[in-house]
Amino acid sequence: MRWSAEVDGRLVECDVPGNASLAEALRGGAENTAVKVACGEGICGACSCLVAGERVHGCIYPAFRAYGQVIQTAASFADGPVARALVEAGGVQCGFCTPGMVVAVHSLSTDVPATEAGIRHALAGNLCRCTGYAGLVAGAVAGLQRLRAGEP
Amino acid sequence: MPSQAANYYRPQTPEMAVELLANLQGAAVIGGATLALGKLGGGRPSHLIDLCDAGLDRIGWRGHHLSIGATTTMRDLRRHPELSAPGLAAIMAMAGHFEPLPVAAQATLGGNLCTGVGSLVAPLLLYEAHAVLLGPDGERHAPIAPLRLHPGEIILSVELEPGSPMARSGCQSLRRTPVGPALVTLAALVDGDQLRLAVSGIEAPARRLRDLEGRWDRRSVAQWAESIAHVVRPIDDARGSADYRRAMVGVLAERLLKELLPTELREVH
Ligand SMILES: Cc1cc2nc3c(=O)[nH]c(=O)nc-3n(C[C@H](O)[C@H](O)[C@H](O)COP(=O)(O)OP(=O)(O)OC[C@H]3O[C@@H](n4cnc5c(N)ncnc54)[C@H](O)[C@@H]3O)c2cc1C
Ligand code: FES
Ligand code: FES
Repeated sequence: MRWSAEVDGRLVECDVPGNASLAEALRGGAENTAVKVACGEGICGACSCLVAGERVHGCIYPAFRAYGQVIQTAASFADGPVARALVEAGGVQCGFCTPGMVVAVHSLSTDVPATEAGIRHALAGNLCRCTGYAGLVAGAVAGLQRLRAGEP
Repeated sequence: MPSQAANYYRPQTPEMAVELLANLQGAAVIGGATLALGKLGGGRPSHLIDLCDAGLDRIGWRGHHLSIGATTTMRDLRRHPELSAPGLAAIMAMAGHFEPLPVAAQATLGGNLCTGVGSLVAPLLLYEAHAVLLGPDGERHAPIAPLRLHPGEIILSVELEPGSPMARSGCQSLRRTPVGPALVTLAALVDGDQLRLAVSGIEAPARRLRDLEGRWDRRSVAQWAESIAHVVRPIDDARGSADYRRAMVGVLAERLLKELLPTELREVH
């Protein structure tokens, strides 16, 4: 089926099976590898992306529910303060979870405190197999603070 | 949306969904698709009939029953004012387990009931809930545990009797992983000196513990927990032995009853 959406600011059109997940549409159809697939069952958050501003796990989100929507993957935020803060805090090792983490931090509403406890709770759906979370959480807190302070 | 010519459909009414289901080989309806698309759900259906626009997300009164639409998500359940009464806290507690994961905004009540081991089954049993189904032969009511859909049927809603405004309820569950089915879920409702209990996970299918229910007598909380552990018929599987489940339902029962009992009764025991 013909699938189309605005992905990271660019209009994308491609052929995607009607029963595909959003992650499959983005990676296979739109060739957007900023969306990672690890568990494929909604648990790890590697495939996190925003659909009309709402965070979803792309591996369990129907591609055609996102038809015509504005979609943001980690590519939208690659040069932003969150990605930078994660690197600076040692929150990245193999990097497989990083795109999902960056998207997840960007999705947080203002009622999530930019504190260690706030981040640990809000990012419970994003798993990292490498870092042990200390650097990652510190980076996410710093990134959220910098994002809220308006750092480009 | 492209024309509905291939294998994703978004019917505007439940009747259209039932018609599509009857006519498409290998098709399945989806609520949130959190199981249907993921590896957890087994084989992926060849055609998706997405119920998100079928008007099944309403919560409201139908006579003296509270009706909850099948595509109501866990997040919507948590936020709906009709469900904020203390008597319905058991449902809220289980819907709350999905937060803060994004799946909370996607996972639906209908899909949860279809799994047979969903978190919401035990709490819903407290309120004499039944499912309202629509199929090729029309509408019918069916028990939620075990829920047996006839071929081509879909769940429209779940109807329940919330009980008196004085009721208090709660739910405790024990799971090995954040996603897998709970080993034990125990839900309880206290209304005056009346007690209702329901379990899932520990037994298949979920059920009310009607033999134990009735007036809250002068047994201590610990004695009640022991009685509950005694009457359940635990299953034994890879996630936990029957003995472990029996011990754990006792632990959960003690915690839950302490939380729910009115202070004066709690002090007596
Ligand atoms: C990260 C994560 C956490 C989870 N946590 C929990 C948890 O705490 N407790 C829990 O119980 N589950 C949990 N789950 C499992 C699952 O998400 C839920 O059970 C959810 O409610 C399933 O609903 P759904 O709408 O996504 O189902 P879908 O995937 O849409 O459907 C599942 C099945 O139900 C059928 N179906 C759906 N709606 C209808 C309908 N209206 N009529 C007829 N058939 C229908 C589908 O055909 C399919 O066979 C979790 C899953 C993930 C990924
Ligand atoms: S790959 Fe989607 S949540 Fe793990
Ligand atoms: S850095 Fe490797 S999974 Fe997180």
